[in-house]
Amino acid sequence: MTDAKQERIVQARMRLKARFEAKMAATPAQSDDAPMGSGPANRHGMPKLPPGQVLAKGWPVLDIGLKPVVELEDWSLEIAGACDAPTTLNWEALMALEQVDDTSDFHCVTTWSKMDMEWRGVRFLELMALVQVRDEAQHVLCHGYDGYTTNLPLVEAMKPDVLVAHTVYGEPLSIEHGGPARMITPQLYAWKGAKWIKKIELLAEDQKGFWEVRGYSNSAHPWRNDRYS
Amino acid sequence: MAERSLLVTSHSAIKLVAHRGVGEGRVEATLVLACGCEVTRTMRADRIQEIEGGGLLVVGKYPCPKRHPVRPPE
Repeated sequence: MTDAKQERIVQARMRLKARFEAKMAATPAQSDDAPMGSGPANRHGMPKLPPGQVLAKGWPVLDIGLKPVVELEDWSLEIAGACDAPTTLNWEALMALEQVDDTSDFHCVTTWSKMDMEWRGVRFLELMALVQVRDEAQHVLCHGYDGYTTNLPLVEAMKPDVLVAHTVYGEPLSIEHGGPARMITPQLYAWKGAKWIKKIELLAEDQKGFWEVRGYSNSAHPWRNDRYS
Repeated sequence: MAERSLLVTSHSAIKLVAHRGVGEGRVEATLVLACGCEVTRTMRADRIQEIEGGGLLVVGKYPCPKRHPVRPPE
């Protein structure tokens, strides 16, 4: 990546942070006055364990029935829609972006949580800086290689703990857990992070994904026990 | 809405009634779904998770044979 391109991404990242910082701070997972749940405050000020959740000892494998096998040389991530520089990243291009290590909690709507998971990947914010997301983009629809879709507000996706992650606990993400790369959404229920991520669509209007059209919450806020539509 | 009624409705399990191993990393489990229906099905053994503090939890969502709508358990 050239220095000029890197500088453009840095500037775009700063503009996006300025645009979204206040809105992110106003989302339920960061601002609810009397959030439900138990335990000490987590990284974003909410009780560590959301209501109705229990701590699983393992890391369950959940999907909609398929576990696609995508070799790294065949992998790509398309980012398109309401942006000025839509792009399709191959694996090399994804790895050339700024990589981050982040520790976050994982909350599944089927009532299990896993705390302090150690991820490595690219911040969603970084991808948005790369593609120059337009002002009219308010929503995101993510697609997986397994045909799965899930939607979330752009303000939620822009949070610093939302990653396109490829490594967990220092090891490449396994196929069963969504590898080569998946999205994670620590401040929402985990179904909002697509495994085997293939495409990110930026939208002006919301478009519901797989579980959202099947009766599950469009907003998915764990500290509001917000599981159903 | 008509289109939605054709979708399989999948629910969390709120109770594990019984389970037994059936080989090859799978179990046969009888579950009570969030809609109240009791179903018996085979699944990966890791769908039954040990939880901190003791006990077992069935993770994942399972189709309701009666297509009960997805909503909070009563």
